[in-house]
Order: sequence, then structure tokens, then C-alpha cells
Amino acid sequence: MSLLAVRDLTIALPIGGDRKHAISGVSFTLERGEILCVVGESGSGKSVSAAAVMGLLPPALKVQSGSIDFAGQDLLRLASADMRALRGSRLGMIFQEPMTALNPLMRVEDQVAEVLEVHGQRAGARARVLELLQAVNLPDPPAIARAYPHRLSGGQRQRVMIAIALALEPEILIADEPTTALDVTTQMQILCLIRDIQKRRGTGVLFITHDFGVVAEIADRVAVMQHGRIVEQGDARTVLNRPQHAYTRALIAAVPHRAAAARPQNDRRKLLELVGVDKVYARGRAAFKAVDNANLVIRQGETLGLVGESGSGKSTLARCVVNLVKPDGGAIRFDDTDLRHLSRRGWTPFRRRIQMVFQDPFASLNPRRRVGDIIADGPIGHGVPRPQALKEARDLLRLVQLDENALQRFPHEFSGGQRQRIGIARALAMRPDLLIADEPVSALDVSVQAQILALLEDLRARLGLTMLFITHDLRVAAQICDRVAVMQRGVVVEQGPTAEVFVRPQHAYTKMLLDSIPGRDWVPPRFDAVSVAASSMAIA
Amino acid sequence: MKGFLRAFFRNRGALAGLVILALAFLLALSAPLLFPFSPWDMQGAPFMSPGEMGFLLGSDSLGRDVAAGIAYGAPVSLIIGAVSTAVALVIGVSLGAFAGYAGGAVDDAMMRFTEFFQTIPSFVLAIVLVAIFKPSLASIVIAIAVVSWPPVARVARAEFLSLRNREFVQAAEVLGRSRLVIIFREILPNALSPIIVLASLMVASAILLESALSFLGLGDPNRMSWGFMIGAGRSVIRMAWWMSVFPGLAIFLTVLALNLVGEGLNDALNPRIAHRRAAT
Repeated sequence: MSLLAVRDLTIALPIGGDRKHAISGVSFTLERGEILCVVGESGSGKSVSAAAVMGLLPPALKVQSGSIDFAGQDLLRLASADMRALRGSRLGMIFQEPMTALNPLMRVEDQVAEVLEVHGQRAGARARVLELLQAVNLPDPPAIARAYPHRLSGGQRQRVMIAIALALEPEILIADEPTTALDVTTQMQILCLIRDIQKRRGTGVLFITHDFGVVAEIADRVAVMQHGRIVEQGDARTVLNRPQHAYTRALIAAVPHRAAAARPQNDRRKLLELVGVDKVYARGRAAFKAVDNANLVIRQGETLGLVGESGSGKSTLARCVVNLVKPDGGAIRFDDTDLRHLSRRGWTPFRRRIQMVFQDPFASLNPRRRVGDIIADGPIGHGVPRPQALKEARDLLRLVQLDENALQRFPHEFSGGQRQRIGIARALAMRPDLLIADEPVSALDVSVQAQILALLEDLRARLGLTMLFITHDLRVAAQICDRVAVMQRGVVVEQGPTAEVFVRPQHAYTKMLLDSIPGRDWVPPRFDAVSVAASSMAIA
Repeated sequence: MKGFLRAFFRNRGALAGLVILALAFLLALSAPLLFPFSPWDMQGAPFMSPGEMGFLLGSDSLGRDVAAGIAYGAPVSLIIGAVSTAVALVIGVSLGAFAGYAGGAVDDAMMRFTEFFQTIPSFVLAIVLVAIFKPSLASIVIAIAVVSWPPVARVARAEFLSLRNREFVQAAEVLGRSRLVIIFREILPNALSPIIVLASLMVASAILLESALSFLGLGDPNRMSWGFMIGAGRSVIRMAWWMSVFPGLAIFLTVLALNLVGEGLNDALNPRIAHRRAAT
């Protein structure tokens, strides 16, 4: 008998939602000692499925039909007191956001001990806490046990969450995107930890993710969800390498997987040169070097990738170039002018020539202005007459493959990918020489991500753009960049042609980054053009 | 906008507040029609209780009509409430916007300046200002505005501080827009919701302040005012309760109405609460 069997589960969305059911007719089983990955894009219903198993559905969502069988009882028909007894003891859960999942006012040991005490294991709880912290590979468990959560890094907090989830040795562990908020290197450690513990104890793991790399890394079996239905499920190797359903194929095709190709040497003139740029943030007596002596060169027409984990200073460096952050030292030469010493007025001509695309498509457009005004605003501010600017905005919308009538609408009427297109159109309206893209695809679903990357590459070729492309995702960097620079704690530790850096990394940190790409051994299957085209239709 | 109106009108308290406010406005506008005589003139015997001698709400110690006094007092209260709030908004929003946008030392200096005003008890300051400038409609409006702008400045500053670092503002910065355009076109429209809510509550407290000032005899001597009526009826409250109770009720209802409207605006404009309401 399966450890967990979800049968024909249908959950209704409140009236007025964008579809009738959050999930409909979902069935899957989870066996002892198995990792089942549920993959899907945002809004596919994967998190709702997990919440249903834990009995943590928001009150607005009502179960319409189906059953969830666990240990001979239907979880959906259990009284809430019985469900509480199961939760934590036999069903454990890890959440996505480790930064907010712990109570900031409780010491780590009290939080871990709490789950033991709630389920009546008061005796020996303290000793058990240390054992658990040890089991999730936290350094110096006694010190961590006495610490408050704010002293811990994101990866350490996620380990504490895992320790809490595993405290009572549950038979089922549900992990809802547990590594999405973490850096790649930390993600790899957490994935290894989960797999290791699961092997040792024979736990059944229900792992929710949007990342096919993570699936390739840990899954035994996979269920792919789209619009609240499971469209394909089966053995991980089969689904990853011989996907049957068009949607699965499209998702896998959208994973950036082109190997970094050797690109022709670019010896055109230097467009941007950073020499010894420093940025120090001082808080009282403590000083934090966000950017430390950075040297970079971008030549006309090339794309330089700036890769690194969060806090590596890559965004700060980009913001130094556009003067959103004032650097403390060094020179930023753009076409032989040092931008660092320009006044606000002196900057004006360069505002046209250097533009930026931002990370968060939901925060980067003013919610109270129409799309037409947002795009035309820059040129109008630089003296282009309004009718002409609006006409150009219309052309730009067509260039980024949006409908012309978008001009009259407000940003909230668009999806994330469409908003990012608007952001790109806004930057292109100035006809820049240099485009700085700060993680332009990291907030997007994988299929949308592929579309935006294709658009950027197309525009680059068509308009002869030079790009500084910032990303934490090495797969994306491999796909789009001519050269890459790797940053760690504010220092550029390595730079060179993409193919060379990826194949023969010199710096230890670069090697570690490359080893941490989830599913690095998995080469996504190639589909012939016809089937991919058909699959893209399935997404649209 | 449509969603906002729907959320606002679903709130029964806010709707009731709006109705009471509308009635107060109507009363203020139609005072000369309902009572075609000066509220200062004697209309009959003094100390008539409500209903006697044709006095709907009784007469005061000089035989003046209390109902007429309330009707003529309404425009004074409403005008002072609205105008002093408008003045306070102009001062508070511009200082707050400037401090929040500039940040750093400028922000520090301006916030210390704001705190300087906040440390002085506002009512005492208002009394001093009115006493110095001689009581008149203008001096009362200015006094109330001067004591009530600091909270506006603080709210505006907080909004500007957080919006200033949002990506759409940075985008405008990268596009090379001027500071004024960024402040007024990009940031201010997004900072308005909490300021509107605060403003509706400020009108209420301005009306209270005006009533308190004229209760103490610091009102405009040429205009009938609710606070003045209570002050005049205070010494004879055991003989003629209606002289202070009815103007008191008028103040109570108007202030209550404004608070209800403010509450409703807060619920409707605050996206987190609005969503929760929509979901249930």
C-alpha cells in the first residue's frame, strides 16, 4: 500500500477567480523512501496540492471532491484535533521563505523543542535538539541552539526549519520550494541534506518546485502540473528525457541549456571601462565593502555577464554605472568620459545612452501611469515632442511583441512577462548604446523566461546593443553572454570568454558555482523544431 | 477606482458617515433660507425650552434661536476644518516629500524641525497663536494648520522614503527625469492613499480644535460657532440644558461622521484589508 495516496482531488477557487478550480482531478501516490517532485509554473496549483495534504488550505479554498489517504485514514475527513496530532509528528513541512518562517523572538533551541513538547515529548527535549541540529549539518550546534534567528544566514535558517520538520521523524516530508529563496551553493547543500536524510530514514518526500534542474538533481518520480491538472507523471528519468505531453516538452525546451559556445573575438572599441571601482557601506563603526576594486571592460556590441550570488555586489556595481549608487573610488569611463565626476546636469546626455532593465516587473512600472506614458516619458523628458514620442512608443510595443492598444492600459492589466517587455520598451525608447539588464528574468516562470531571453537576443542583434547582463543563474549566463565576470563578496574573482570560464574555471569559487548548478549532469533532450513549435502553442 | 468605490460603499459605517456629512453640508448651505435672520438677533423670550414659542431647539439667555445658531455655526466649522486641513496638507506634504526624497542630513534636519512642533502641546500653541493674532477666521485657520501639519509630514516622509527606492522611481532616475517630475509625477500619486485617510481625520480634529478655541472665547467674534454656543450655555446648563447639548450633539455627529469616513477610506485604500474583504 502507498504511504500517501491522493485520489481525484478537486479544490474550488472562490467565485471571480481566473478559473473555476485551483486543482481538479489530481491523483498521485507517494511511496516510502521516495522523492516525488511536483513541477509546474506559478499558478499551476502545486502549492495548493501540498497545502491540502497538510490540511493548511486557506479558508477561501474548499475541497469539492476526492480523498487523501494516509495510514488508513482520509485526511480530508479528519477532525481538526486529530489533524493537529498528525501535523508535525507524522507529516512534516518545510516552507519556501526561511527568512520569515522562524519566530524572531525565540531562540533556535526553543523553537525546535516546541514541536517536541507540543507532541508530548518533554523529557530529554534539550539533548534531542542538539542531536537534530547536528543531523542537519549545522556547525557548532550548542552555539546555534542559543542563537536568535537573525544571527543565522538563510541557508542555516532553512536547516533549522528542516530540523524542526524532522524532529519527530515524520513518515512524510512536504517541501514547498524549499530552496527557491537560496543561493545556488546553499541550494545544493540543502538538496543534498534532504536527499541524505530521506535515504537514511526512508521518509517519503513530496517536493514542490518550478525548477527542472532541481528535479533532475533529486527526484525519483515527477508529476507535472499545468492549470490545476497533472498532465504527466512517471519515473524521473523517463519524464526528463522522453517527455510525452506537449506542455512538459515545452517546459523542458524552455530550460536554458545551450552549452556556452565559443564566440568570435571582439576587438572593437571599449564602450565602458570600470577601473578600480569601490563602494563601501558604513554603518556606525562597521564598514561593508559592497564592491571592492572592480575592473571590467565592455566592448561595443558584446554582452558581458556579471554572475554571482546574492550579496556579491553585482547589482551594486551595475547601479554604480548608472549613478543610482555613488561609488567611493575608481573611475567609470564611458566613451572616454569619466561618469563618476559628472553633475546631475552633466549626466543628462548619458542618460540617453545608458539604460537599464530592472529585476522585478511588478515594482519597476509606476502603477498609476498608462503604459504609453511610461514608455514615452524618457524621450519627452529629453525634448522629443509628445506625439512623436507616442508614435515611437507604439512601434516599440510592436518591437517587443505587444499589442498596440497596450498604450492606453495600466501596468496591472499585464502579466509578469508582458510587464518585463514594457520595461524593455521603456529602456529602448531612449535608443541606448549600453543596456544594463539587472536580473531581468529571475522573477519570471521558465517558459516566459525563455521568451524574454529570446527577445533580448533578437533585439541585441537587430539594434547592435551592448549589454551588461546581471544574473545569478549560470545557465542563463551561458546562453546569452559573450564574456562573463564572476563576483564574490564584492570582488571580481574571474572574467573571460563564457565558454572558457565554464569549461576551464580558474578560481575555486567559480568551480564551486558551476558544481552547484542543480541537475548539471542532465542534458535536456533536443526536440525537433516541429514538436517544440507545437509545444510553445500549448503554453500560449 | 471602481474597486475602491465598491469597497468603500460596502462599509456601512462609512456610508452612514457620508450621509451625516452630506446633511451637515446641506444645513450649512441652507442656513439663510431656513432662518432668514441673524443668529445674533433676539427672536423671542429667553430660556424657552425646545418646542416652546416656535423655537425648535429652544432659545438662549438672550432669546436667540439655538437651531439658527447651529445652522449658522455649521459653515464656520466645516470651512475651518477643510481650509486648515488643506493648509496643513500643503505644508506637511511638501516638507515630508522633500525630507523623504532627499534623505540623509536634510531628512534629519527637517525631522528635528518637525519634532520641535510636535513637542509643544498643540492646543496650547494654538491658543497662543490665536491670542497673538487676534481671533478671526483667518488666524484660527492658520493656528490650527500650524499645529496639525507634523503628522502629515511624518506620513509623507515615510511613504517617500520607501517609494524612493522602488524600481519604477529608479527607472525614472535612469531616464534622466528632473527631481520635481520624479517627486510629483512618479512618487506623490503613489503616496496619496495614507495621506487622504489622515486628512479626513484631520478635518475632524480641526473642527474639535476650533470648537475648543471658541468655547474659551477665542473664536471669531463675528460668527456664530458651535464651540461658542456651548461656552455661552455652560453657566446655565442646569436651567437650560438645550443650550449646550444641541451644539454639542452637532459637533459629536460631525466628528463621528468624519471618523467613520476616514475609517472607510482606510479600509478601501489599504490594499491588504481591501483584499481580505473581497475574499470573504
